[in-house]
Amino acid sequence: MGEHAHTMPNNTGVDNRKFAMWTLIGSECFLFGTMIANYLINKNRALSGPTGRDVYSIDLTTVSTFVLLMSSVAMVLALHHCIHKELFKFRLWTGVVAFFGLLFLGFQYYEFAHFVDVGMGLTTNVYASSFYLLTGCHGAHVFVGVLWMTSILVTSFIKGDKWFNSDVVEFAGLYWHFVDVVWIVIFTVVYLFVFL
Amino acid sequence: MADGHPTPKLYWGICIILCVATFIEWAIFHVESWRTNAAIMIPVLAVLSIIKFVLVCGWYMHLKYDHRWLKLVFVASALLATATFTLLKVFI
Repeated sequence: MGEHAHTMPNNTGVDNRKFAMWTLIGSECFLFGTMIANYLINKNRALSGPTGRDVYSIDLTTVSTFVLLMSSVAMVLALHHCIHKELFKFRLWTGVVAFFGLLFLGFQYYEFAHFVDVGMGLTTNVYASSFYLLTGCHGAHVFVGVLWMTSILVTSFIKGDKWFNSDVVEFAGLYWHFVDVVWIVIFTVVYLFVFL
Repeated sequence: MADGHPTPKLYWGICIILCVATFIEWAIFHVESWRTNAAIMIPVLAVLSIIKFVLVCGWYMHLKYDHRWLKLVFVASALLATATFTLLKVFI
């Protein structure tokens, strides 16, 4: 699938780079799994200060969830158009992915600023620390994804209309979709379950 | 992509399902009597999350069409991670 200049021989029948990306994603499952575990353990252990049920705006978080889902659609469309060598559409959808990623980060920033304003800062209580660790780490992953998409977009402009490296776009897509999948879990476990 | 692989039409169809699932999550949250009812919220939200998870992993990440080794690496990791945080929550 896609163009690749030089791929190493392997015993698995899978491109080594793709295998490595999936292995990275597997390790990221453990990273986020342990942070989610940390959050779940500390969820009801705050001794003072506000917790999620006091400060969350589910309406706003639903909008940011929707933005991230749309960015995933944009990502698959970018890959599709890269494979079919449709340069303008490929660049357009790659730009949309980066834009939606930035929009999501903007929502996160606004949300966190509001939480701090109403008294739930990073060190307020163990609930807040666990929450910011988990969602902050996810936000950092989104930021890295935005940088990656932007670099792909810039590279396609620099290299001109001969650049259709769909392998690179596919690997970036895997990372981006995984970030989206993690948010699907966080939205449910952190934001919706806090009221139970 | 080769025949049998997702088309933009399918991607948009999956997008609609993801949006509907997210909307349902938002909507049931706003039903006052359900919001704090774990017996309703946990299974409904869990099922919706699993549907979204499978759709994104299977079709957007192309795992449904990929080599079994890739499926093994991801599914094993995801299951182990899920088991880890579930057990930690239960026993601590």
